[in-house]
Amino acid sequence: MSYLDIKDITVRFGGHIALNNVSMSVERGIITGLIGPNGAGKTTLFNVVSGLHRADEGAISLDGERITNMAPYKRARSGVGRTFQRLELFPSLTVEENIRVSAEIRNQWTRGNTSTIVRKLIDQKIEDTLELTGLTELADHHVAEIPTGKARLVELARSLMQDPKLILLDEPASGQNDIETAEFGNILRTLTNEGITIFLVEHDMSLVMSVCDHVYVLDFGSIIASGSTDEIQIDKRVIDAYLGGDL
Amino acid sequence: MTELVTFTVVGLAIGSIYSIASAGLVVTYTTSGIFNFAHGAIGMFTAFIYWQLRWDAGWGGQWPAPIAMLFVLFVVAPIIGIFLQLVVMRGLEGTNETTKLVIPIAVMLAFIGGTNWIWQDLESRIPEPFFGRESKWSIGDAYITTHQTIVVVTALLLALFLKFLLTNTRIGITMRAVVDNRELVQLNGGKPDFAALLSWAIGAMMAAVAGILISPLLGSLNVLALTLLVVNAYAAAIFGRLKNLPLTFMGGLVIGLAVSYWNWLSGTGRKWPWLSELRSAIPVVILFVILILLPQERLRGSSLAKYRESFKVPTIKSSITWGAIFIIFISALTLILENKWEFSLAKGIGFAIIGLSMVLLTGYAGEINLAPLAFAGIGAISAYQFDVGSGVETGAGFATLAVFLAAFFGYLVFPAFGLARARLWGAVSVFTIGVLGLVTIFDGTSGTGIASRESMSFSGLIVAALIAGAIGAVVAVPALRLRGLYLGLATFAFAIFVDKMVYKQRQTLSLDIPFIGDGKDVTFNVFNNGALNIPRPGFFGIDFRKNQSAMLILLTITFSLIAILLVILRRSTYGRQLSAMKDSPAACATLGLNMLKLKLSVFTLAAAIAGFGGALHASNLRAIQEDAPFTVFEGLALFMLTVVSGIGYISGALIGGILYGTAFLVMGDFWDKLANDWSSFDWLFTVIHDFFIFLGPAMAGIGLGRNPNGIAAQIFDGYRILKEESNRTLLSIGVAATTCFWIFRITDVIDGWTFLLLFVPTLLLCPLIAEAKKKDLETEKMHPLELIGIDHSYTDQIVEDLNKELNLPFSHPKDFEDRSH
Repeated sequence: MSYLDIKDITVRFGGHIALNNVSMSVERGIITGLIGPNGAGKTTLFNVVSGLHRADEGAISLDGERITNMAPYKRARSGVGRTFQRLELFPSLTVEENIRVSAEIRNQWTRGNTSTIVRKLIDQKIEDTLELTGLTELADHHVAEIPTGKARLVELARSLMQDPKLILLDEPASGQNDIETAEFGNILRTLTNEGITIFLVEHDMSLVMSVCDHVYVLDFGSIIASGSTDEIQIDKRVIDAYLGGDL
Repeated sequence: MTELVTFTVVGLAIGSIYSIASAGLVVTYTTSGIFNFAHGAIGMFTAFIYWQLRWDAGWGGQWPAPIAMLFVLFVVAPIIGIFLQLVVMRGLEGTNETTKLVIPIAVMLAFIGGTNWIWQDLESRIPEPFFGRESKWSIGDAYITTHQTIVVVTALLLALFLKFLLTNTRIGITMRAVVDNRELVQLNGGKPDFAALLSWAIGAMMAAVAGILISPLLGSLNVLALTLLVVNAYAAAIFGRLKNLPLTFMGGLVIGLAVSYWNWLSGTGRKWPWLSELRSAIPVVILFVILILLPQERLRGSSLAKYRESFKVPTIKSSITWGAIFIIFISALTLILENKWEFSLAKGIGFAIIGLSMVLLTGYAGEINLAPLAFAGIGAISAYQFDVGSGVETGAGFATLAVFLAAFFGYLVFPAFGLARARLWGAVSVFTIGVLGLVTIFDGTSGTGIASRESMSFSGLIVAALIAGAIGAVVAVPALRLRGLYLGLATFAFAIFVDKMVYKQRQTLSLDIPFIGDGKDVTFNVFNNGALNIPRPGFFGIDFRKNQSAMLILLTITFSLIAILLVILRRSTYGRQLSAMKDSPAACATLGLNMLKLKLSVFTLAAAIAGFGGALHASNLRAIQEDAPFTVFEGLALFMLTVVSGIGYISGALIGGILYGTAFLVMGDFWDKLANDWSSFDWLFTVIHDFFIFLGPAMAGIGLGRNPNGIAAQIFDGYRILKEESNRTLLSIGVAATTCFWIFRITDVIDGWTFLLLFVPTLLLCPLIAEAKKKDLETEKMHPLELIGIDHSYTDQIVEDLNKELNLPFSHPKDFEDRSH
């Protein structure tokens, strides 16, 4: 049984069908990629999984438990973290506070305890995560002041503070330069080694091809292909719809 | 049957007017994205102009109805609409939601103030219906007046006209397209500016039609009543979700019929005295219910760019320092201020305490509340009823009430601080026992027959906070899903509801409350004949009744303490969560935050602060009336001024409160004094005086509302520069001068006005000088590289900078010269 199971999801915006009977499964502990042209429905699918948008039809289950109608915050508590394509940081807060608020929210619904030991644990975890994502030097900057590439890392770090079992990453490499993207790939591998399942929407093919274990291709709200990165790269439908072939 | 027809006709007529007004609102909203809060006030203003032309002297006698009508509809109203769009509203594109709300509120207050200014005399102005009161025709036994017929027909015609305009004409389609994407319309050869102008002109015309048609139904023209009548139409516009015109028209009719049938059912309010004012509150009740029942937009994020405002948070230490400085400063002032001025200042600080509730709710948590003063009023009434006016012995009963409320309050607020299960109950118990302790300790006169009590006790203030908090929670529960404009409208509806149903309530409530009143019924006179006399506090062994200085200092200390608490709160886990919720609800949800609990707690806390402040403020004023100082319009003015001053800052609340409660009155006084002293310029000074009194707050709102950070930020940036090393001299001169003025005043060398004239400019000039100095330095430094040597000669400094810029080893100009020789 796969970790995240998406079954026959359909989403309509008025007359427009954003997702049409989409089914896919994300296996535990690996990096699953989701690619496709703009407007294919990738972000909509993420919104459906994280609960920000209700699907018109279909079902989602996480680790065997149905979460189709669960409130977003409850899904988060059962281990679904995510980042946003259009950044959703907290600009009133500094980088460190953005991460801290996430840790504190988690602490509230797990322990409900703010003893000195817990506070020290949180501090330690923040420090570690800042280090992992290379944000230590930016910790005291307001997030409105930092470049997009770094802001994406703040979103990742913020999500990591929740100890998620599954992270949905929505175009994390956009706004990052090549070096940053490569480093980002390394971070993702570190995370899978720690047992975190990753579901990745990305346009940067170098990142997708280098880190993903399995890839789905979405076009006009339907899945047109799936398979390993090697299989995808030579799939005719994918080349026509998205990757573009040699002329 | 006859009655049914009569009330149906009346309902349809009023409903038609609501439909017309709300359609105008929808037209401006769909084309400009701005909810025109001033819509009602425009209808009111044009109705006054129509009355002036038609029924008063006009210009050259009374005008015939059609000419006056045409003039108002096709000259006055379009000019108002076009002027508003060109001068005020056009600049609002791309600003945040609060600004989009605040500027139209300022415009509304400007119309209200302007109308009060122009039609100052207290004569009664009675507009007659069209073709007189006697012109009517009948269906069976029921009469329908010609005026009613005209109203319904006009509504139908206007509906058809709008439908045609928006769907069948090119300009109408452009108008609708402008909302979706202004740039795209422009690229496609549309004229967005013209479309926006037209929509504002049409909107103002619709408001004018509604105002003119509805005014004869009111009897005598009354600025606020007329404005509120047109405000009723807002419910109809929401019924159509601010875009659907047919639904909007239907909504208008439904509201009109509901009001009319209620009048029928209740014998115009006589049948159920408690609900006698409900007829004027029905539209806002409907508004509230519609807002709650409407399907809500999904949680939606917003990109970084949308947030132009960014509030800096002081450290706890600096907030304590500033609090202490503020208390010392005001205490020093009390030594030189006359009682009258102390009272004015106390008024400002009283409003500022209530303003702090908005800093918490709107500034920190991003939730809009347009009813801050309704909660303040509830606080004041509660303090009065339970501490002063109930005419019974309190003691045990009072304590019971406090315990019950404290437990409720704790249960609502504490979970948001991360307390659950055993910890939660522990905290609630500690809090409740604490409140019980406070109430028992400070209620020194309990059991002595409270009717004769001449002062307010500390426990009265606590109960005020707890009751206001509890009611805040009750209001917040249904409104929790609402955000932005819709939340603003829901709270606005609540404020009007309190105005009508509480402040105008004349009934006496008799209750058998356990432990209170020795088994006899306890009577509460909810709003005693339109005024409640609220005594000054009498605790800590200080008599605040005659000592205005002590009262001012008490308010100052209260403000500072609550302010420091808020800063501590903002810097805590709780405060970070509030900021996070304000910035991105979507992200909060995906982090596992249950925002309902958080919102409920912050609403409760803010309402409690407003209630506490309201009770204290009222006690400084010694009385509150049904029409002052806690009405819906005053609440809007305070909200607007606080936003303008910087709602994210403690100092924003302070400046907003003092502007509203003190500054405009003192300015008015000042020009009044000038008018007295120089009688030859009497007229000029009177005009300036009237300007400040009638239009001051509104103009401040319109003029300053565009700055999303508020003026507090600017002022504090100015003073921050003063702290820099290079400005030490300036700072010392400023402080020394101020101290000198103070000493001069206290030794009676100068009078109060001279002190003010010396003091205020010094206060404002110091940061300005510092800033000017800094700018000078910056422009010198910032000389563009490519221009060096062209219009400026080389200096050592420039060469050094150049070398640094080009990564060259440092070389002194002299070396350069030496080599060239």
